[in-house]
Amino acid sequence: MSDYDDIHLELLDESDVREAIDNALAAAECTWEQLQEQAEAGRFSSEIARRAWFVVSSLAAPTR
Amino acid sequence: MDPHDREVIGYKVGKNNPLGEAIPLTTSGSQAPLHLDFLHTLDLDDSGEFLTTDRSTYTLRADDASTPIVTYDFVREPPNPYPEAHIHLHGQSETLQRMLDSCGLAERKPADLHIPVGGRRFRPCLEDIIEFCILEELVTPRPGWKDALERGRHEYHERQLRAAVRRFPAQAAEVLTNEGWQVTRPPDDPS
Repeated sequence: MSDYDDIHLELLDESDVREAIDNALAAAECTWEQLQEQAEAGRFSSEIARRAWFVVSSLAAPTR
Repeated sequence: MDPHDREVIGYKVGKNNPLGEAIPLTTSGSQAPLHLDFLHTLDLDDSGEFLTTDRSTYTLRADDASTPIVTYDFVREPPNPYPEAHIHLHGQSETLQRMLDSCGLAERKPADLHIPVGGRRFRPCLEDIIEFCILEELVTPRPGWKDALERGRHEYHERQLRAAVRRFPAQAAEVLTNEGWQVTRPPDDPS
């Protein structure tokens, strides 16, 4: 077994990316707009919201 | 990985679980005293050739896998004035809260503070966090851990150093020249 046998790669198309973003926002219980607002302030409503911003801001276009 | 070559890396990260899960830090199968979660998001650099870390976040969590203890964040070009690489200390701290209160910031928590660490090039890597857990005897390592961590850390430091040299070529050339190397300025160098 190599060091990398347990790495799983998931390739996403545009609709999968949208679904991943929606799932992250649902976990954070925030809209993308609210997450961006919190990131600009440097303070998030929750720990999950902070993590969600890391993912969503890497995949979604900014709206602010 | 998405159609634009952007990547999100983490433990059990996927479309249905985009935030991933925390890794129990135990080698024996017994209840882990600590958990570690990490997310790295990568994007192509300006040359369009190499993947580069856009954001990273490492959080040490308590034995319940959810209560955060300390977070190391890196955000390239953040949307706020705080440093790109910083630490958040979670939990209660009477001293920190008193400081915030006396600065008129009573609505803030100690975990809201962005404590700077290392900057873009010299921020801690994942290996540093794991080593902290081992050296402080918070977790029990497997034999050979030191070599494994050192290999990963060496690769990271080398990549960061290369990036620093590309960013500051004149300073790198000056150091090498002082060390006896012969360094020639490229003809198309604008400086």
